[in-house]
Amino acid sequence: MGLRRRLDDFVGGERLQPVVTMFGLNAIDELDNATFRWLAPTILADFGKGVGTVGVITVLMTFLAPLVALPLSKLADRRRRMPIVVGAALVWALFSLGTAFSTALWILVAARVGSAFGRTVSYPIQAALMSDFYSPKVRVKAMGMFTIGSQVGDAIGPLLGATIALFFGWRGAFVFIGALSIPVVIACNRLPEPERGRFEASQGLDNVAWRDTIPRLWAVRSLRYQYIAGIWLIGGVFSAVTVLPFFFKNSFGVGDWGLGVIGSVGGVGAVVATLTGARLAQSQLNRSPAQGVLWLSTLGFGIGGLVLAFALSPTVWVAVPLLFVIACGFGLVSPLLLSLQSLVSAPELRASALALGQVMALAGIAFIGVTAGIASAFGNRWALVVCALLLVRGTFHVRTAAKYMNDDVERLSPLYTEPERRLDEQGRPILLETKAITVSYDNVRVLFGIDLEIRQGEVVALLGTNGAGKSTVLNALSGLVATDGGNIWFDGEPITGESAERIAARGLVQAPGGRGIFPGLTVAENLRLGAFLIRKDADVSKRRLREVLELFPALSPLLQQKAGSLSGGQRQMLVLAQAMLLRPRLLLIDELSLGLAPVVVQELLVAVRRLQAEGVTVVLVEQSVNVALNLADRAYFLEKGQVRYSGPTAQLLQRDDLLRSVFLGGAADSAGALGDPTRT
Amino acid sequence: MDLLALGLVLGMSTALLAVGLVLVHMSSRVINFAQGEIGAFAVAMMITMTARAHWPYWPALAVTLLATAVLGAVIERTIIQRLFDAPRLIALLATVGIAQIVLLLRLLLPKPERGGASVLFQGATTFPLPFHSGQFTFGRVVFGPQHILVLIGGPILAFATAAFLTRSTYGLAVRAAAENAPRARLMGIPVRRVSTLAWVVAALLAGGAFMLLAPINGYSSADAIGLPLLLRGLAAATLAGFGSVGLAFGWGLGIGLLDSLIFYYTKQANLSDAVVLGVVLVALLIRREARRRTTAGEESSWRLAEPVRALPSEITAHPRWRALVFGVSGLGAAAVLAAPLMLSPARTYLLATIFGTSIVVLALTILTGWSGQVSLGHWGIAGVAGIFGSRLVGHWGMSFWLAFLVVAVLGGLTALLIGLPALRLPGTLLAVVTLGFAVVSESWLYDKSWFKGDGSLVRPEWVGNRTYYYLAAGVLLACVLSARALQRGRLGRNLVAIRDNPAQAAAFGIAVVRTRLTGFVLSGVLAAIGGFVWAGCVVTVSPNSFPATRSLTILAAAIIGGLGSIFGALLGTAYLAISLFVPEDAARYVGLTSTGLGLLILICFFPGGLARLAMLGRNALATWVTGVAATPRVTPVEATEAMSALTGDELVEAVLTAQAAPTAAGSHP
Repeated sequence: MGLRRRLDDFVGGERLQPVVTMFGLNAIDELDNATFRWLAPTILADFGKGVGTVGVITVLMTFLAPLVALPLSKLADRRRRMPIVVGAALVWALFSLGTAFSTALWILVAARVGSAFGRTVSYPIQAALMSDFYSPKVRVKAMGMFTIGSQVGDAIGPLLGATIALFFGWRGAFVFIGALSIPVVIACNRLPEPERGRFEASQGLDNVAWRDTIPRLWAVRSLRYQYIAGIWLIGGVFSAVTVLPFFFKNSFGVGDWGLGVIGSVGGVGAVVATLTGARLAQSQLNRSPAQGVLWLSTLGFGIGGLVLAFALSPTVWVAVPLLFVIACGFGLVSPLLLSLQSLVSAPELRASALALGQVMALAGIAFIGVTAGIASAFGNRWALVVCALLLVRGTFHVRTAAKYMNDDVERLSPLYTEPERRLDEQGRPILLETKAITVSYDNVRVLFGIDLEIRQGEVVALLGTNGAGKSTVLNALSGLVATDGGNIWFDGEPITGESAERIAARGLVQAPGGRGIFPGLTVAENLRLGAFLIRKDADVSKRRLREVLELFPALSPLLQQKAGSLSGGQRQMLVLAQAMLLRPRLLLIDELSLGLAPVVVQELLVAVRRLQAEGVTVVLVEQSVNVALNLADRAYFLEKGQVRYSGPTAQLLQRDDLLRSVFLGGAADSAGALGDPTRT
Repeated sequence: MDLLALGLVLGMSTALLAVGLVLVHMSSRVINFAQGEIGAFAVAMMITMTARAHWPYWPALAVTLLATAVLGAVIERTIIQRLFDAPRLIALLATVGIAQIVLLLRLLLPKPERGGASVLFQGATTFPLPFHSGQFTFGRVVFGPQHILVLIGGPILAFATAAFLTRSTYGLAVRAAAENAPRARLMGIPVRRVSTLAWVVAALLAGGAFMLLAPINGYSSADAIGLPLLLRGLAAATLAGFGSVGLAFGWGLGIGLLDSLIFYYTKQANLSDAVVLGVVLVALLIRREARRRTTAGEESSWRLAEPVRALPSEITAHPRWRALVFGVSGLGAAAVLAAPLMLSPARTYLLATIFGTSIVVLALTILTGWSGQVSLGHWGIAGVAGIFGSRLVGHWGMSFWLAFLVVAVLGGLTALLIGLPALRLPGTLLAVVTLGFAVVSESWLYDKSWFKGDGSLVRPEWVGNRTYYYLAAGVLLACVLSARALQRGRLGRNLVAIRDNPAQAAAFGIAVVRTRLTGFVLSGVLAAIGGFVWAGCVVTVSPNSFPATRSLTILAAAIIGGLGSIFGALLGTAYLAISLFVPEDAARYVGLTSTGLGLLILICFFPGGLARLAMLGRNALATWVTGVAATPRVTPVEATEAMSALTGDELVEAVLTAQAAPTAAGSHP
């Protein structure tokens, strides 16, 4: 029972069954794979083929499988995952048996590719399950055990398979392995479906469209840089692994048996690392996610340096211990990466996130071609140097990811994932809510945690001086600018990270002021584009066009003119007209009165009042307090990227400390004449 | 009238090419120099499918069109979108690189087994046609089914494109996305998808154009598509102002007509090149800049590369660093001086030609980097110097040195002639005009009996290889020093001001057109000097010595070295020279890959070029040697606070000594 206790301890008292089952699944998967790899010469000789066929099989497996993994993971994100995993395991087991019974070459190829499908395709789903079985406190360790499975299988496989083949032939080996998989599949079946997102809050992202998944994942910056880092890291690792045997053979004259020993040494190293190093990595992660990532980067640099030293090693007695240490490092990278990726991906997208990482890492495999070429042209040592460089490059990207890590994890924490309330005191629905929005341009932080609440039907002003961040807030709401932290909800649905086009389609429309026209196109064409989102419905388009032209009669004579020749006021009108065509639910207007004569502003105000009457909620960014007073009941005052005041607009007038920054003195008094917007 | 019909047929390829160019310009605001190569790729693929894989016509056509569409989409997604916010010049340069890559792809396609690596296809044997009909004779010309196809298919394609752009909402969206992408996105227009769509259509258009014309014009699998053809397409698009598909189509047909008439009546194949260029120049001269109410949103920020900064004074004054610089410069000078004594005459000769070439690259890099204009014909100006120089010395017996001065002036005059029409108008029209010049000079000018010499530029007798080497080195040094002086002087600063914001510069009293023209003329003078030095080295000069394509290679060298950097010009030429050591048969592929691909990679990821790499190395070395940080890390907050602490005179001082030099190395350690 010592082992049992130890394992229990390892997973911090959480359930042991899932990780052991997954371990078993992966171990036998890899057993099958390794057996085929080492027995391939014999197997293929039976069919009269050679190494070329293995190459074809590998290519098919490597490239087809992950591509199927993405859609399947997407499916897994929506449905129950255990059935998919069990199904995949079954498929794999069958194909593995199929290998044993293949009578023709094509059956063999199909069987091998099929068994790879079963494995590769369900790996991200398994990893996603693991993150729901185990809390972040022990996740790294659990992931570690999970990934050891393949390493163990890889280590035992050749020996086991060869031994069985000795007595029963290679077909017998595969029968045995297939049979071995049955109890594991049954054990898998008995696992319960864990609650999705048990440890991280749900994001309400159940209905994310297929096409939107990847952009959403890509928008999470720490994920993005981890993916990119993955390409380089995987490239370096795979290249090194490919070149290693040749290096030992050519530089040190190691024989076949020696190669086998060294291979096992490496395998053992990986297992050891995952067990011990996982604890270390977990403690780093528990301190803060960014720490975990930085630890990964330290690892990366360390491995890179070691590989460099390895490339330079003069004798095999230096090389092998180095290899052991390097293998330890390699072994740790994968569970850590998986855990980190699971921490920053929304639970509803997790399997897709992990699958995407897998697909992107594929690109890293391309590096094998390059390094192999370098190895044959310049020698193995140079190739290994290149591997070290790839690893270092990847590590730089990891460090970039660390920058965004904490913010991204925080976004998923329950504190920030639920909008505070759906209805306000009077029972009006809250249309737009933001929490803790932070935005940076080029490492300069511009918004420092903006909280907004916009109720349906009201007009809210966003005031402040130049450079306060008002337009940035609008751009963040509209999706033109990526937020570093915080969340945005529109009508109860999270829209953080969504693309600008989708947000516009939801009914959150921005009228960007004078910049909002297409100068080279005519006014008519501009209007037509304004109706882009409703272009499919001809009746609606025509009706709305008519209404808008009635609302802004000044535009009618200008229809054939190029928009670039319009005056400032006319442009504003055009922009408002474009926005109106979409009948937005929430309209963001940027600097309505900027640079315009008071008379013109008056006309525009009439238009905006008309909008409000029709039930459009309006957020108005303004520098002129008077315009704001005229239209808005509530106002936010922004200064240097923070909200300094939030409340009724009229009360803002009493805040001399704020208004001083906006006005030359005395304006507050003259602004007492409400309803007189001609005096700015 | 038969000539009219023939002209229409021949002009159709130009017309469709022009339509594609206009489409790309409308959607990405860039002149696409790869348009022709994409079309040629389609033809090559079609030939591979039909003649080598032996597929029937329609499936082969389907696959070819699909492949072409994918090519266009991939180019747009990977390169053009990445350069969305970059200055349009950079995007243009990227298309030049793309053209070379597409050419490489085309050369890699398996060719049909017809003996020999370079296969020339003639007429109707290129690939099968979808239908057959008899031939008929119209006047003096024989028309076959392929001609009919062209006459029908061409206008259909053009009309469809025009309708798409002007009538359909998606076409409008294409134009909108190019003008103001953020605004388009706010309207729900999927900007990236729309932009890709435009490129796919343009690629298909190019493919269609070339496939229609291949049975008539023939197709050569080995060479680049022929700059003359690209030039005609560009000319037609330019005449249409890149604004109207219909006009471009019309002009294209017009040019085709002009071609056939000139050829028929004068029997000279290449005169029409010159005439086309002439027409373009005249048209540009007459055109006035379009009046616009405001020019907001038109300029993109020119952050070509972070400026290559000089080292702070703490380092330059540091004794250790000065010792190092002294030592290195001394070694360098010694190496240059001693080289001819240590190397074989052949190597010395090679080095001398490199010096000559680097002067031309220098001329181009300062034009492009400082003034923001690109010339695709600099080697053509060099050719003017070389070939006319040979006439001066050989035919007219002028002294070598006098001829040197004369051709320098001539280079400036040439630049003035071709630059004036183009530089009056905003945009990258100079590229088109100079390309035209390069083509015309190679095909027509250098052959003119009143222009060319006897084929060799003979030096005075006492100037051997070694002496010439020193001469060339001396001229190069003089040019470098003049360039440096220029950069730091008023002209240099004005050029940069005009590049970044012409309207504002004009408001400050800088004569925009005149300054630009001056910059181009000086660049022309330098190019001529370089060409003459080069020609004097190789002695044998012919039109083949100055092909139009070499101008593109020169441009690649300038970019790879780092645009606007004087040191970069030298580095870039060195990079070029390396390719001379590659074996013959691999040379073409290596050459294309290294320049084309290298260009693209640099533009997308590392616009500073080799010069910036060198600067980084220099900074690291300086920091290591002196212990002082080469680029002090000052955060924006610190900088603001530092400035706030200054008063009165100090502030004035800070303004006057502010780094105002153009973005170039301009800095010796």
